[in-house]
Amino acid sequence: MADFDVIVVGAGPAGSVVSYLLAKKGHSVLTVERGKRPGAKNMFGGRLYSWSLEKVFPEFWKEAPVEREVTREVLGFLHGDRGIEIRLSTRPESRSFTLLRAKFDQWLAERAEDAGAEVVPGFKVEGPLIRDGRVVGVVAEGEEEMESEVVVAADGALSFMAERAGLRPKLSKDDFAVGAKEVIELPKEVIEDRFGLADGEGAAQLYVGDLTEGVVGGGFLYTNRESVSLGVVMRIGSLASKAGEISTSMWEATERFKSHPMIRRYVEGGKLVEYSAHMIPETQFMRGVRLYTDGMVVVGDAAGFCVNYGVTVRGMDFAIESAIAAAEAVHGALERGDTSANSLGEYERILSSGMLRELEAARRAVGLMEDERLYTSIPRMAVRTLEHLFLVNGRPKESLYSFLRREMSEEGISLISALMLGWRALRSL
Amino acid sequence: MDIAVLIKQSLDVQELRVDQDTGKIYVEDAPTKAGDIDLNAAEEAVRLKERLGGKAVALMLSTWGSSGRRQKEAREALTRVLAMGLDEAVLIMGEGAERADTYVVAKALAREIGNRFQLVLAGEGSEDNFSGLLPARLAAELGWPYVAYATSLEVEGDVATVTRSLEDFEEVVKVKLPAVISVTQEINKPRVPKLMEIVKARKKPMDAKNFSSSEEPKVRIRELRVPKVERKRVIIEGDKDEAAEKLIQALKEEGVI
Repeated sequence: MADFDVIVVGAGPAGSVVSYLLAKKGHSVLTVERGKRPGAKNMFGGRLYSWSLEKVFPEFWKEAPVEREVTREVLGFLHGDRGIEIRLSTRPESRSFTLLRAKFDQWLAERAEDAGAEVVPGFKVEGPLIRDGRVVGVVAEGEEEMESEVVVAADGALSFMAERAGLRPKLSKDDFAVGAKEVIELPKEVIEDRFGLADGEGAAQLYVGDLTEGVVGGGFLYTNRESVSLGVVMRIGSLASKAGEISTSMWEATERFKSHPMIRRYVEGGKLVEYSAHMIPETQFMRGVRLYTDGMVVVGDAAGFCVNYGVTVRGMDFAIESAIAAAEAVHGALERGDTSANSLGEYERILSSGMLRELEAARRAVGLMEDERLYTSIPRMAVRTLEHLFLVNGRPKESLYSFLRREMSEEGISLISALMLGWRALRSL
Repeated sequence: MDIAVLIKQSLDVQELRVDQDTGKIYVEDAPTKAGDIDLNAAEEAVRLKERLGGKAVALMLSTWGSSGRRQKEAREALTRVLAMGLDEAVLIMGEGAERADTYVVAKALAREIGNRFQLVLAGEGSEDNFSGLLPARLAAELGWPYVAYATSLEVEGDVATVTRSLEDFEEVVKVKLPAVISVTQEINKPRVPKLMEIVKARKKPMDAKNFSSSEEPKVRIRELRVPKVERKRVIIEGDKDEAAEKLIQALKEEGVI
């Protein structure tokens, strides 16, 4: 007799949602979280797209500790001390919210507890307990063996659970980006004034340009209620390939971003209250990660469900969607009394009719985003072209067409390849 | 023999946020937990209980407010010591408790303890305030003997033999129970509960009681502030023999050496 029906490793969004749903169905659930508290260990830019969590908790934002509803999207190009911001004021039919994970994850974990799950924070799970080739529980710190009918690995980007169960290959540097984030405290009114927001409205702002010195990545700004999350993400593979050529460290890139005149005005005078850095999975799902085995399923970041399309960074919504599918599959398997890989495979079948297709499309976009010119030539040309357009100096001006041709030849980009880049971008987004 | 162990809900001092400019401490933001030395007291109680039988009960009077979050933290702190092997917990919380000083807390705990226990164990001081006053005050209220700073403890019948750690020597005392004894961190190494023990501890009895007291506190905390350390920022340059000479001179002038 197993100790629990289900042991969930990790109380992030995926872990808490799967725990909540299974506990609600009447299964005995143990959720083990390594951090002192749920939400204590993660790296999160700041935005949740609500579509998946709404299925579990309709209108959750009325009750959950969200910060602001995003009604402003900004895409920025930075070059030197100059820059362009493209602002979209919007109220999309599907909402998204900025939030702080320390508060939000605790709220989600409490929902799981209320539904009857045992959530134990501050405890480390070493890996899956494997007998005769099947996962039958977990090995907790201190060599303690805990048995369950099914294990859900929700242990995040570096998932040792998935790796030790042989569900994913050892990861390489190309599978990850590294992110650094600061939370800068400012009075509510100051934030609303600087970003031009009404009460409760929020901004999500992404920037590319020379702040990363040609490394694939960029900067972000998200407004919380009384703070701003500011940070930089860089692709590790791309960073490593430039080792020695560039001076950029995460810290320097963050500082450079923060001190850019366009960015500085948003956070000036604020108080740094939190600093964090973390690995962010990028595309590994596509590289042979299996989602289930006998007695175990993998959800959220642990399964690599995280995508950075450049203008859109998503992880938490996919994590929650995968948790919903996993809960359905695990519930079915427990009801049938068959928790073999074949039975748990229902999980992937549910996902493949929806979310996996979206991820597949995202892969094409991500492929495009690896083009380094997006982080060097394009921002620079964009800034210079607009500068040319708006230039008045009392002298006859070169035509825009000839200016552009000259710029492109300086950048080593042909008109054809610029068009191709644009075409591919349009097709993939 | 039944033992009461005092568990203080202490601020997690490693997670205190401080405003460097004003010295303000954000007490409300800081999480709380069972104090580290309290875990030594709990460990000692469990060891005694395992050898001598009887019940070991955790007592907590929570003085950091009674918000939902503080209640949850208090329960978690008590769950931890229950997972170590204590049998039951009593949590006293409520209106007015956040103003209680050691005088008021000692009175309230003495009422709770009454004659139900033969031994009260406590840490030598709490992790956050570390006044070390409470065990002595409690002993006074109960009219029991008090032995402080125990580094080892043996109980035979109704006599406890306690080794006390003092500055330059150790003292071994025998005390007749009932008594209040405070322990140091050297007395033992608290066990780390297993996952299953934590799960089971949640099902152990936890008695929540409302704080009530007619006593007025004798001490009121007006403000909590971080001491401001002003550095003189003296930089001595030059070749290293000369600089060393100047450094020694400067330190002498400051009266440091």
